[in-house]
Amino acid sequence: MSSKRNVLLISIIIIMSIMMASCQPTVIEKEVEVEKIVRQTVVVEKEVQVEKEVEVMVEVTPVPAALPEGMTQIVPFISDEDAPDAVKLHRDIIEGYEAEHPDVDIDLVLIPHGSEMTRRIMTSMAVGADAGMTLIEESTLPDFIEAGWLLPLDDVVEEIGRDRFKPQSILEFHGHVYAIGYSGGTNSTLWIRKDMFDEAGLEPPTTYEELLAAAKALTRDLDGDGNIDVYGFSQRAGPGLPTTTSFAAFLYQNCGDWYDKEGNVVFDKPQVLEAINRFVALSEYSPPDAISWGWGEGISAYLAGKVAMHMYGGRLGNNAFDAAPEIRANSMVIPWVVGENIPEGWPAVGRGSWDYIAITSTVKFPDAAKEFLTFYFNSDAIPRLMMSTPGHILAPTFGAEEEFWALQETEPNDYVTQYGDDVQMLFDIGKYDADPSVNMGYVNTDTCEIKWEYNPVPWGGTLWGGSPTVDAEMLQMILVEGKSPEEAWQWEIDELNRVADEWKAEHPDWKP
Amino acid sequence: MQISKRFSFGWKRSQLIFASAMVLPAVIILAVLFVYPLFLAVKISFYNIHTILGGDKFVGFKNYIEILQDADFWGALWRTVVWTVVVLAVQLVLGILIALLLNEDLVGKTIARGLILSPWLVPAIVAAIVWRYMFNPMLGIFNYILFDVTHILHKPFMWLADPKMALWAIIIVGIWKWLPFMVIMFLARIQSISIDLYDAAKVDGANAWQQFWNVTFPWLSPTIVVAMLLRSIWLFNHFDLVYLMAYGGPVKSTTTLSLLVRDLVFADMKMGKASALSMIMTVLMVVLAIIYFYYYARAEEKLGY
Repeated sequence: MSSKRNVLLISIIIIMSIMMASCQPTVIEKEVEVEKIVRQTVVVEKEVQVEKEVEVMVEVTPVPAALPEGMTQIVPFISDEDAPDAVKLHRDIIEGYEAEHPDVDIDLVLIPHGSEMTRRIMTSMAVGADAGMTLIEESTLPDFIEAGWLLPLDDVVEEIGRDRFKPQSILEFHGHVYAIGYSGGTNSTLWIRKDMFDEAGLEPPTTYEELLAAAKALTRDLDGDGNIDVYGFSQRAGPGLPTTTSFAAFLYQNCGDWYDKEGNVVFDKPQVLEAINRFVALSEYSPPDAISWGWGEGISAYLAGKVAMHMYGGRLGNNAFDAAPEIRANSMVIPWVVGENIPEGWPAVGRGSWDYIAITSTVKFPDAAKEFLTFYFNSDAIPRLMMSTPGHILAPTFGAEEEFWALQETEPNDYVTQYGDDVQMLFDIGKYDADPSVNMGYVNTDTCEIKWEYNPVPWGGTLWGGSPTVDAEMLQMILVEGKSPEEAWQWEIDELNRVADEWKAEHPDWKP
Repeated sequence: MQISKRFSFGWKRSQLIFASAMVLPAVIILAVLFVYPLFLAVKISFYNIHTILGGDKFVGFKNYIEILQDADFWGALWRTVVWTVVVLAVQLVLGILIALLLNEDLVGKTIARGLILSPWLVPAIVAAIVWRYMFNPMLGIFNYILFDVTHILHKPFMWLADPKMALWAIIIVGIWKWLPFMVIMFLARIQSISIDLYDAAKVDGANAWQQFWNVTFPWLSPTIVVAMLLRSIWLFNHFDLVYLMAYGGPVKSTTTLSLLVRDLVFADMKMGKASALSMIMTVLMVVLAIIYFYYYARAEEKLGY
């Protein structure tokens, strides 16, 4: 029995030792410089000079752990570019880079497009996992930077050449670049079934009134059973960002905005109610289930011939070319006009979404990550990515569009060959788009002047980073719950004020 | 060492030490992976913590009070109860019926037993995508059959787009997805019932229903209780299918408690409040588990264990 006990005790010790050893975290040494900044503040009431010493933690490029000889530097690259062509392109680029840098392994981690990228990053950062290089949503940038989750990329931008980047494709905060745009997308275009328009004797709409009239005329019961078979329009009104994207055009084009440049709510201006009413009116000619649509359902409905018009970027044309070429042949893409506040010479105004790459502060090998990022932008990755879905991906750098067309000359793409004019039009329209989370005060709601300036909304993550977005929730109050537009509008005004005030109370030193 | 009779279960000291040592690794793992995170979650629930920016402001019971005063919580609780009870009830009845059927000596029994597992094998994301397309009002097969072909419906059902219908559509998917688990649990138990009991019942003149009620059901009772306990906990806490089907909409009509936790963490950025809600859910589950264990003990007693 005692020998049995000894064997048992030894076994337990071995098992527990293995368990304890496997639970040891990997220690990565980081050096963090602490800067002391002395500021002077003045208390107005008593005119007393007060010196305030502020310690600012500045996260500099971490010193990577010493790598044992022969070991590879692994850099995760989290991407939601899951279209087959884009995946192949990225794999090819990575292969080419690794051939020149055999000690580096870029680990491409794919997650479904438009899904849980932000949540994935938040979870990874919370547990200190190496999130490497990752795509990032602009609305969450201020929070991520404040939390120290992102590395400054000033050196990367300088290496690539700052002048090469379009203003919208660099995200700066407190004087440092934290994210670089690698693709943009316009949402100010409308795809219409030209054959349905011709059949009804209608011209492509150039004003909101024409759009509404066309939507009404093209909503039809084809077989006389009392149920609508084809809807004139397809208005996304689900809980997510696609609805904010649709709504942004109505807001901007009717001289509305969420906040002014100083972060004060201007959503209470009367023209905003007009924008809401126009959105709601157009929704009447949309499929009833559009209140649950995200990005893809409208495309499916359009390709199935169930709707006559759908607002989307270039991807719809590409999908139609692949899946329903006869519908593509009978389609045309035009600027999406839903208001009168469009500057002279501009085709349209709406929300443009950009995809950005950032490097997280938990990356184990920051130098390798930055080198790859530099390589990515200095290679032909951008024009090739644009070619993977022609017309949908806008160039983040000057010259990339010319490289795209040069690539078309040497490696012609069938879609571009046939619909090159549409592709160019999509490229052109995207230049005028803005995003509510990074272009605070895009529209001067007093003068209706539109001016693109990078001015992030620090509390934007709460409003547009989750689901439902604040606009989606407001619009669903009207479309689903049957509340009046005035009631729903007032709710959003209150919500915009509440979120902003709460954030400002916690950040009293903030200046826009 | 004197071990009291109350805790010795009639074992020798060496046997008790041996048994304790055998479960010790599992206890340690449980302590590390469950007890410590639980304490951390309880602690967080008393603080105001931003999901990204952190924070350490102690707020006492404020998070709990805000949740209990929030209409969204009560709505989510009601939806969670409906989701749990309906899915469980239907799975229970269908599970027993299918198990009884699969226990019979029918042609194709083996193939059927394999096929019945297929919903369980399908990943939740795949199931959600496929069912979302089937429920699509314009393009989906359900409306096509019910409206276009058979005209049972006079107009297309909005399924996931109708706030009154969306949760029920997800319930249908939930029933389909985990029915195999119930079938397997019940089938295994039914197959362990001695034939002699049925023979004795037949000799006494019992018909099929009487055999089921007096032989099969009592034997199944402990398994039913266990299955109900496990399924209740899983359904109550369930996230992925409900989220993937409708993302909590339209207008929060499919937002259950687990989705509400997610919204608090990732949309409202209130980690402390989300933790408080998780604690409330935990308490509810513990109460439920206690009730179940009471009825499990009674069921075992009736069988003479």
